[in-house]
Amino acid sequence: MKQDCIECVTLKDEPLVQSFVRPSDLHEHTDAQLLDFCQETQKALQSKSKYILNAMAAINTVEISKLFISSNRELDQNYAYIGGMLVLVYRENEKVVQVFDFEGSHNVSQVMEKLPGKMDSLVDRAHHLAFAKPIEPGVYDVITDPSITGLIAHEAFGHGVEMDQFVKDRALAKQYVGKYVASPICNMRDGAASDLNIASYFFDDDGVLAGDTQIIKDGILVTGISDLASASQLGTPPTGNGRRQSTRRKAYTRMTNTFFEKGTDKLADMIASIKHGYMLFETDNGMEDPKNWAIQCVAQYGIEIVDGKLTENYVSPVVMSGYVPDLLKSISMISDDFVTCGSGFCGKGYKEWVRVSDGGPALKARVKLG
Amino acid sequence: MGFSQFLNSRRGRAKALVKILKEQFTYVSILGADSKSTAIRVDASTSNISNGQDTECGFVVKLNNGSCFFEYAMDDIGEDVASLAEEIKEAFPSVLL
Repeated sequence: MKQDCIECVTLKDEPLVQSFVRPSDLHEHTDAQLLDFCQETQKALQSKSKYILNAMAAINTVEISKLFISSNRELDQNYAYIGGMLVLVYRENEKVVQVFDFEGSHNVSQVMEKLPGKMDSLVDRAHHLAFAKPIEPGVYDVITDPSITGLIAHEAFGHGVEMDQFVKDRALAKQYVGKYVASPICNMRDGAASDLNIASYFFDDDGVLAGDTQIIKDGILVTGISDLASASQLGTPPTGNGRRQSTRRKAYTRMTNTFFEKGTDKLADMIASIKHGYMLFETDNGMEDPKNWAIQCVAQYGIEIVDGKLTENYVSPVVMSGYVPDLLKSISMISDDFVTCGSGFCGKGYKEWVRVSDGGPALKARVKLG
Repeated sequence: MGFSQFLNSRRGRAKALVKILKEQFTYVSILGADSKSTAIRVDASTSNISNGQDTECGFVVKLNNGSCFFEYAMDDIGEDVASLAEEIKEAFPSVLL
């Protein structure tokens, strides 16, 4: 007897033979040179303050080659990514805090050039967090820095539009395609070809060319992202989001580079427009519930805004939570700058880790903080 | 930088394996991955270089019989491609065929 299966439309296997290469200077640097760089950077960072208990400098390099063969396709790709990280464990005011910063590129030289420049701001952040106070829970006007903007994009809509969850009726977003889910000034994308970052490849693990998917256009949910299996089950074109932790693990629909598009507002005007609120910085962690569209985003810290000006009052940590459409519909201003960061991993549930980037501009929204 | 010599050396075998499996399945693909990752960490008391967590090498075959997907992972594609194809077919749950 044949087991019940989800119906699949005929899989397209369109002919294509192509090699893809992204040039990198990775092989121009030996491991010994990278170790020397980390040792010098660590020493310099450790000496920045007597309050530093431990400073860490790290570089992670990866060179990826993938070959995809099907009846009609023969694809190969070769690319590299380098991530540099600084971590501080810092004790002042009888409080121990841990902070980090990251620089990523497909070139080692860029990481080595830019990472040391982040040391002073990292120590300054650690100092302020040592004196940070808890936030008074409530609903506030907030401005998110690109890291928190990316966290919202990733948790609020990234996971919610993974279409393998549509197949299983585990995502509320399925019912909202073609409807307003965000403020009309919001546009959001995901794709390995949308941005050059850690999740940028030429073809996915299903042999589908990298995509650039408009998820939200002018506030309307346009489509989700999919791998080959979910796309064939739903009868939609795959979006190039089939990714696996390794060849030992199943391919699922996964995010790549997920971000809000930039707007037209100046960050200074956004801050000036707030009577009392907070600017939120640096992702700590996040969680989503695609079935009920609830999210929780944790920022490392916030800075109080009073009468349109940033103060010296730091709060930490800051937990932002709520119903996704409420949060996205409250977005009233979007800055005209744009930053993405690829320092993190994304899990499917509690496993299946893949590297992702997220980010965007600064957003002004009204949210619940605690 | 350059594409993996190991994967290049298995390209012909991968094509042969696809051809054999395609006789039975409506869709067949093979993904080969060869990734080298290095992690360098220096803190106040230690310096360390190790393989990064992105390091991997292997293959995965994806099959579809018109209604279900099935995947089979392996370290390498040996010279005896016909035997490997038989192994993969046997691993495909018979209840699905």
